[in-house]
Amino acid sequence: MTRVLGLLAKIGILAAALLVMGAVPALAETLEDYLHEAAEADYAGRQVVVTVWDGDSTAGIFVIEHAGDTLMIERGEHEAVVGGGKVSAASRDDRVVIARWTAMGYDTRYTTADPVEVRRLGRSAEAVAIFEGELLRAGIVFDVETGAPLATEVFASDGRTFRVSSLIEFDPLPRRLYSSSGLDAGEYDVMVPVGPGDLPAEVAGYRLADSYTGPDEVVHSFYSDGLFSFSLFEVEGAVGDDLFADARSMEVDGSKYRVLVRPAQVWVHWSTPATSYVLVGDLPPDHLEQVLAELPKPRQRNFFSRLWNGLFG
Amino acid sequence: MAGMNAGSCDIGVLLSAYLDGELRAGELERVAEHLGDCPDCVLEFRMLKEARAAMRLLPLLEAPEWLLDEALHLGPELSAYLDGELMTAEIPDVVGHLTVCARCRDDLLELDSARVAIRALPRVEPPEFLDVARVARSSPTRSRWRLATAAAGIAAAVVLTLGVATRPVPEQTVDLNSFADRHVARASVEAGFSMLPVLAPGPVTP
Repeated sequence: MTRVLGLLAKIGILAAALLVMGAVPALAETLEDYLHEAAEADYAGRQVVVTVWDGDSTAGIFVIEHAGDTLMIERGEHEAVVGGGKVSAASRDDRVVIARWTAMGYDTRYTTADPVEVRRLGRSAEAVAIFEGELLRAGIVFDVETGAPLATEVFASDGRTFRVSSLIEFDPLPRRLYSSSGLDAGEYDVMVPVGPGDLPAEVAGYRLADSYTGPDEVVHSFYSDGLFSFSLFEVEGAVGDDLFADARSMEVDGSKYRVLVRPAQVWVHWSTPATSYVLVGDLPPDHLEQVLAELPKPRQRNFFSRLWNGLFG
Repeated sequence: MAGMNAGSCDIGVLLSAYLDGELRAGELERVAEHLGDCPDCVLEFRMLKEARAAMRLLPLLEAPEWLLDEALHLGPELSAYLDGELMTAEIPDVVGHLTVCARCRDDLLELDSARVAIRALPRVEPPEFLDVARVARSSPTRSRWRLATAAAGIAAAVVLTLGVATRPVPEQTVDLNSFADRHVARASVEAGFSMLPVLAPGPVTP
């Protein structure tokens, strides 16, 4: 925990540097260019990710390699290869591919300040501050030579740090990915596009990009604002309570939700009489509250809904 | 080796394979070592990388309908694709065709909607009054029996209704790791994905 706090303190210096830059709106393409370059960058290293929620922090350390559009992640004995719409979790023998997707642009609510030259891990880097109106929403430090994101920090609406990720070791050569690892070989479950259903096309600035279904017939809808994203899974009936056994409770507009906080994402679970919802995403807490307020609300099953569901499923 | 033209280095041919992740372990070390020593090859390597990145950013063009022969459309393969009956080797061809053929995509969505609609239909049993043989058997002398049967029927219906209404909702076995995989698979094609630090490859649930 001391190391985590130390890391947060170091990142705080980055936040301070970003704040003094001031909100000078720049062309939206600037951020887009940075992110496209980062998406194509080649690098490897060890990454620390810390998420702070209600004063509690949860952290994870990951070994990552990134080449082209492919990312390999290793944590303990677990390995996964991600990229181009595919995920291969070799240690769990799970492989998923999405059949097609809709290209998304950036929400105009984000502007960037002029980049500031900094040094990080002994390398030349540029710090870019991202604003949502007057609010400093995020900061990213990009490596000048490779374009790799060396550090990211996301802020909640109260200005507190929500999530920090930082490379603590850096190598510009992703050696394992350049050799034939074979990690992504095997059969994939194809996620087939389906119609959008009853979900709103836009939720608190997040646009519905695509909906899919897999062999288990769970409907997966993906929302993004170009910077953050979340997936909403609709399951017919109930899901096991033990999945969210250690979840905390969260209240939005008088409705209660179960929330699991993990280093790199937040999970939310709630139910209506006919459907269970699971949301997973990287969105900051104030965005999450706004999103939940506009999605179907949790409701208890009453006598008639139980009867109806019992008779007709 | 320093200062040599990339074309004259025997490593040049391996650079493309290096970027494509097709090198064997020995070759990988050789290329990595050579790149640290040969500025020309580093330049060629960077040009290759930029060309590859530029290719990825090209918009995907849809083939015009008239170019696609009727026989090239997927037809029955779409149904097999939805039913998970395709061989693994056939899937990339089907998915590849779907990315360029709007008509087959529409057909796929239509087929899938029909499947979903059919699955959603309630199962209906024929009502008892349609049982002609039973109706013919009834007579005034059996009225007391009919009353008792009706009372028993109502009681059974009440018990059934209460039973159905108080029955717990069937729980689905849900694998959160699978949800995580699906989310990241879709998020990986977003430019903002570089903002997403990583998704834990370990179990999501404790």
